[in-house]
Amino acid sequence: MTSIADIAARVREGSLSAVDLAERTLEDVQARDGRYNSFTRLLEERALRDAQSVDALVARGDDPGPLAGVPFAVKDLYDVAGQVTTAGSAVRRNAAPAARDAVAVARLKAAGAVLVGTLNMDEFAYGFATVNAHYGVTRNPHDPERLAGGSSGGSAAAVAAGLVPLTLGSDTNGSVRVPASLCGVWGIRPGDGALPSEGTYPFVEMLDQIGPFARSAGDLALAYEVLAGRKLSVGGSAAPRAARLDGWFVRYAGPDALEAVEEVMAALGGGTVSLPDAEIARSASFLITAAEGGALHLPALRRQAMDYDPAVRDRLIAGAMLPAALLVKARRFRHVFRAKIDALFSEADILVAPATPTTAPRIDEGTILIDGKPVSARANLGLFTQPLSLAGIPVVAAPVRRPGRLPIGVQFAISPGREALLFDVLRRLEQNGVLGVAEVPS
Amino acid sequence: MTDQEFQAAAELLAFEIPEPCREGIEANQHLLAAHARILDQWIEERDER
Repeated sequence: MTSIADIAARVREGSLSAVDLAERTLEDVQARDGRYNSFTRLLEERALRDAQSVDALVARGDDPGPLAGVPFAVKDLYDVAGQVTTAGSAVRRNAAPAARDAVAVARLKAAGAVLVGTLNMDEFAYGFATVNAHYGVTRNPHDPERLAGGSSGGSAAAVAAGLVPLTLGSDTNGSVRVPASLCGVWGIRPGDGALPSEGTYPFVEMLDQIGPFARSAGDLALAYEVLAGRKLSVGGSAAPRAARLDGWFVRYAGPDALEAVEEVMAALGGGTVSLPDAEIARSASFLITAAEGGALHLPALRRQAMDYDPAVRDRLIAGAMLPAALLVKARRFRHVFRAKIDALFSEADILVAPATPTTAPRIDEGTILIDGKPVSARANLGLFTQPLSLAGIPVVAAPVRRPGRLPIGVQFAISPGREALLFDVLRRLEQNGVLGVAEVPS
Repeated sequence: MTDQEFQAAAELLAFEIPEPCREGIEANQHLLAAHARILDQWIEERDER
């Protein structure tokens, strides 16, 4: 698939019509998405109208923007004007349609991108599987018998399958990074507040971040810049120091995850560092998520508990029952943990860790092996993403090149404000053939 | 959790919890309790220091 910068360049110079591209994309999704179930809605009318506007600007000699004509789709928790934001739940089917686009959607549109549809997710973003009681399971394009990961599973699968080159998801405990890893695409959880979340359905205020998925480091960086509303400028280390996280991130990693990190480190160089208290950070994230998620949903649960996905409902109610003192303790830990992360960045510029413990598990098994024992995939695929969520730092999940094998991703974390340096390093690893999107078998 | 404790927790939430949810809620409470113990241990060790 062509890069989004190339698509936009062709649309801007007039050699590719945005309307033709939108029509082809809509037809392709209709023809192929039955295998993956990544889309929940196609927005034909809007897509063609927006594409016509882009072509009209080009015809007038105006610049439609850096994403001119680029088709994109969004996790079904982004407000889209005139549409109900379902957040993947039947509970919200009769909610009022959104009055306006989410800020992130509006920014992509202002840059010339064309919204073509909404994407499947775990109900209310609570899960790592995209097994949705109302909208079905999203299947991994590399093997439709396997999970795509979640909760932004539709966003990752649509990009992996080549249905659209750009999607938006959200990441609370790893909901961008887990599906990016399992589907073999690029995704970023930005640093706290770096990208606009206004107009998205919330889950856990303390941890929620929005993030794009794309098919290359360059595409991801371009989308990030448009979403952030500013150009990234490279500064700082000429030769950044990388270090892999050991301890928790090695002990529970399966052979594929370890191999992926080793390949990256062989190319990057650098040693290891310890992230103290990663296990406690994961527990704190778990508790904050349950407590905040439970509190958010309590009014709706009182009214219509039986309309929820049973697995999500019971987790939310259990969370609502947690004593407030636990949330206070978790917040206290978070403060101390962030200071420890800051200290690590004096030893290394980039921290490297597996994104998931294993490759995509089979849908019918529902378990993964951790430390030799089968455990629930839904609860444990975020083993390595949850501690970093608590840190509030930018983390990219990047696919390691391993042709002919199931994909797996590696996390690259950097201190906030140094995203340009990270993208620069990732582009080089991609050019060297260490990282790269996994092609879906035909 | 005994019936009485469960009812007390539900009362605190002003929520008449449907009976079919109870088994799933209790399974999740066990999981959350395990995470709470990990966090509590950190707090205790830190406060001792």
